[in-house]
Amino acid sequence: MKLLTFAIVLRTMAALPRVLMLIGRLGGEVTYVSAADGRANVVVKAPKRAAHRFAPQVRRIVDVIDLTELHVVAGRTRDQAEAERKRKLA
Amino acid sequence: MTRRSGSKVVVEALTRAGVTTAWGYPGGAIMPLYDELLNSPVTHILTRHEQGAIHAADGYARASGRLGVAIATSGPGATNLTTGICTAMMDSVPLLCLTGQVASPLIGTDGFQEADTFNICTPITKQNYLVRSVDDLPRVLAEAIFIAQTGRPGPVLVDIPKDVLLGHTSEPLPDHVSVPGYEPSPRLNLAQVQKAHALLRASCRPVCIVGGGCRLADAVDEFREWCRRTQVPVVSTLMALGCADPNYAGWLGMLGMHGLRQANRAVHEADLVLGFGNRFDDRVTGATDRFAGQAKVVHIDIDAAELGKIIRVDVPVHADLKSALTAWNELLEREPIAPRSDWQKQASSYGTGLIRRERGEPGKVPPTEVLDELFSIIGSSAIVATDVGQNQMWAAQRCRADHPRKWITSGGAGTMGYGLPSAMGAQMACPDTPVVAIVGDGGFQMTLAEMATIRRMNLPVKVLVMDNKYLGMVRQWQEMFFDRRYSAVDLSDNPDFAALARVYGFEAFTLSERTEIRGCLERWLSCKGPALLHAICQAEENVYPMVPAGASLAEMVEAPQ
Repeated sequence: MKLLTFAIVLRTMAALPRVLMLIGRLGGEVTYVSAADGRANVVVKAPKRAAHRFAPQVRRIVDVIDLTELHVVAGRTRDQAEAERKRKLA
Repeated sequence: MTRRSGSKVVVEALTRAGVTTAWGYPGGAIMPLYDELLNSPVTHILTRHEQGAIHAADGYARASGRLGVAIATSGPGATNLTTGICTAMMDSVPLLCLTGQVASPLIGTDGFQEADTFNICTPITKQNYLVRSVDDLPRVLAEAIFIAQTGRPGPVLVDIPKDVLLGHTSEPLPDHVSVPGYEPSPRLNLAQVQKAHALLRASCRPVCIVGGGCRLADAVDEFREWCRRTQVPVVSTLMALGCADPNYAGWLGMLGMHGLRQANRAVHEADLVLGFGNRFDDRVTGATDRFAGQAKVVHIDIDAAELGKIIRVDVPVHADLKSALTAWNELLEREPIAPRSDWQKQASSYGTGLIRRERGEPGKVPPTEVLDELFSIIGSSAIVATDVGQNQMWAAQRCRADHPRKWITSGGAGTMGYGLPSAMGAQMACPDTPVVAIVGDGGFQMTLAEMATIRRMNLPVKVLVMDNKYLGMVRQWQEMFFDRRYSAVDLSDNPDFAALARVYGFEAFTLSERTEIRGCLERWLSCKGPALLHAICQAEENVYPMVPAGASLAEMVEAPQ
């Protein structure tokens, strides 16, 4: 499975079920949704072989004004952060 | 703006969109609109079932390139439209579906003939609406008509409660439609066309797969010019038959599960596949991991979601095919490429894989021979509408259409019962062109009541019923993949279709002798009004070549000698 995170701008909140139905149809499992005022953040567990289909197909929905796929940037581990702090102090 | 009823707004929107014909079936919730239609310039055609209405609107749209309109009432009226909506969605047909809904206060109360049409149709429409206020109706209708016909076309449904139809508004129809975020015409990236051109120059064995998008983009002329300039061998999906000039030297026919041998082998051996407005459907590719294994892939499509959806693409071109090919042709003018004549000859030398049997069963005709004769008589003069199954594949293998609007078939959805009503719609769209419906005995019986509509309209549709007393394609699969265990495919108690057609007011003929095929076809085709030919076909004929599900295009099963 691959974790996908979408920030979606909707023309109308009534389009949200359409988005969620499509995600379900593509085999995705919605693990988190927050939505208000025409904006929705959705986190989906997607099957790896089909993960590339999610964003383009959601974007195709007429009432989806914009979709940004968010990629988690790998954060530093505590050890790396500590090493960097020491380097700076030195 | 003067106040007028919701029903009048609907008629106003249809008229302004140039709609002259609508197909439908009335009922309680939609009655205000039917009352208004009496005063309108829109010709309404009453079918015998809502499915007939929507398939007719679909056939009308495919044959004419104009918007198809289907109307039904709430509840069962709307749900009876769904098969046709799905059919149109899969094949990107511009349809406007207008459904009545129970009055707003009754929505959600399980009222009489209430169904949640909006949510039922959400996954099978390009866009849909439930209109809550009559003041929204002008904007919604303008949007619906715009969205159905632009970009990648598709069906749009507008569900209108009865009180909205009866209510009054002074809101005008908007002159301009603006749908934020909806970009029907993506801007062509010329750099991608140049990359595609570079791949074409470098390739030795290029093959073009033309898809239904060529017809939808009205790009047939540009495509044929591109063929003339490049001399690249061309294969077609089921939806694009007629796009290539049938006299083009590089024309190899349909590819895919029942594609011709030369088409499938050429794609399998290609070093460059150029997909033009196609979607690499599973019936086209066979096993995707072995599809054109040696080839780089260029894919041009207006729908970004299609690019890379099924197979890896080296050069995606997100564009309207017409503009992309116009640009490519200009590039070819400046930088012509050398024709691959040897490759074109090699691909054609593989042959079609179609065979003609010498022996037959007495009292029955070989279905493929009937179609061979039919196409030799009609050539490319007629619009051919098919049903789904063996009849469809045999016809596709032999189709000689010289324009894609002369080939009407349900591709993506594979909807049995589509052939007869879609032929009716095509005949309304093109009254001066002969229309032939090729149907099997199974599909025909799903929508045969539309013979009454055809008779009433006196449409000269010619119906060929290929009766092998089986659900033939299912039987073929059971023969090949289920050890001949025939389950639920027997139609041996079919009625006498010629007699049935006469009851409906058709001229009708029965064909059962091989020696009479041509004469019988000629008599049937020369009828002035609607006519049906009941061909008693050999029962266990199969469609070959065939690529079994999950196999690659190179693993075609050929007809046994």
